[in-house]
Amino acid sequence: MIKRASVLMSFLMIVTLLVPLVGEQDRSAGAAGAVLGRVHRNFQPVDKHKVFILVIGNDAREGNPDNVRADALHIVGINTKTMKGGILNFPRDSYVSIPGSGSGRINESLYRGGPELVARTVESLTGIRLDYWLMTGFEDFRHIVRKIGKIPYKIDRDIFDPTGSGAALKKGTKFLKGEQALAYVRTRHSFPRGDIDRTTNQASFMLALLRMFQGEVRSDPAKLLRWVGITRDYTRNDVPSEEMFRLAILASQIKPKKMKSVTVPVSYGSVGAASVVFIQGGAHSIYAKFRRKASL
Amino acid sequence: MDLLRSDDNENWTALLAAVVSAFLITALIAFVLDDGGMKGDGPRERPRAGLQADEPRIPQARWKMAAFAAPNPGVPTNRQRKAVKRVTPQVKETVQDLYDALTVSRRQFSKVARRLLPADARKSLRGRPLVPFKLTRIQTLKREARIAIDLKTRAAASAKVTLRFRARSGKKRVMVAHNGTLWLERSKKGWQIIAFDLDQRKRS
Repeated sequence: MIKRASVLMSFLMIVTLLVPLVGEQDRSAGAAGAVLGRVHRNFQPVDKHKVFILVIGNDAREGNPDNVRADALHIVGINTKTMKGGILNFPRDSYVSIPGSGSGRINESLYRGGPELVARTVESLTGIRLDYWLMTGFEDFRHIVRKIGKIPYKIDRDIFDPTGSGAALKKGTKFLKGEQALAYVRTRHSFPRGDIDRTTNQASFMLALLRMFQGEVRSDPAKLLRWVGITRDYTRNDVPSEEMFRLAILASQIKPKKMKSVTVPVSYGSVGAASVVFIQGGAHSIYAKFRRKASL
Repeated sequence: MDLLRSDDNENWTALLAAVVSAFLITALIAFVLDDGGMKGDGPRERPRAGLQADEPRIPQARWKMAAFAAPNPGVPTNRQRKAVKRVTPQVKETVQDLYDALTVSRRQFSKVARRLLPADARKSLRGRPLVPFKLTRIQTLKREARIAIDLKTRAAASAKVTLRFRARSGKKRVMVAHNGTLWLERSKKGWQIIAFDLDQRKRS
């Protein structure tokens, strides 16, 4: 009979492997490396059984250190009581109110005010109090994936995006290397709903990473320390080592099939000359459920 | 006198050779016997001193514990090796104490659990050891642990534990296979087990 202990502090680690984080004070996220940090200085989880992490993928790359945008935005929630969770995905062109900065596409909040503003924007939009944020750019994503090893992932269609992300992947189960993984999570042209499908795919990729992590830890618990070591080596972070360790343990316990991924419902539109997507009213009930249960 | 000196030299040489040989033999024996953390604690034995066995007359399998630094640093530096070696005995002791309290020293489970497990973890075990008290005459046949210690902090560790034991349930004999994963953390109170995953089932 399998018994498991509930982890004392609720943390989430797997996203740290996908995205580095930024410390609260660092506004010049730009082309900085992966960064992990707490959203609120006074870290007191509202409910110790729920953890929310904001995952930000920025488009920082060589030659583009400034004006980076948050092109991947997800909230990962975990309920440590029910051991269920969810990933809530936001298309980058979602037109939202950005605190202290009027309105705009949600991805603009990053260059307008750094990860702190992204977090405030998302909190204001959803009413969810975030505990951690985790942010990475292209280079660090590639490095982390390279260090972890090839990631098994099932691709459900041929993907050929030479002018976009450069992805060239055939349908089927692949073992994605750093460059391929980055190209996959960035591609949108091969998908009918473009950026909306892309953001959904990013969540699927995170779950694939979680499966890979759990598979390794199940066969050899020492592997958990390896993953923690990689995260420590490739992120700048103000999260203490013991928190990262506990986050990793939590990630090793959540079943991927208990983590449901939901992309906020949107409709296409424009504001002036800019094409945007508008988040539909139905999103409010999703936010409320996620806020209450930390699962979807 | 020359003859005498010659004899003295031979005697000294012989004595020196004997001392050096004795030293080498002693060193060789010590090297062979040094478990370096890789072997058990001795022949079939009772639980370590500090935890009284419920049934002290039943011999138990010796613990075989392997401890290493993780992530694997390739060839560790001397400093790294020493740092990990310093904490290894305490981690091993923690794992042994917990498992002894779960199996062969169950009467001390509450006391050990209070020391080694945080409140939530104790709650999930419902204050009871893994092996129900209705099982008696527990005899462990195999006790192995593979312990990884975080190289950087030396304050986090994992342990993969394998146990095989037999016991009596009334007149019936029961064979049990147990596999466990422990996650340990060092705090001011010493090493504690902050999470675990335990799988135990009867074997036919």
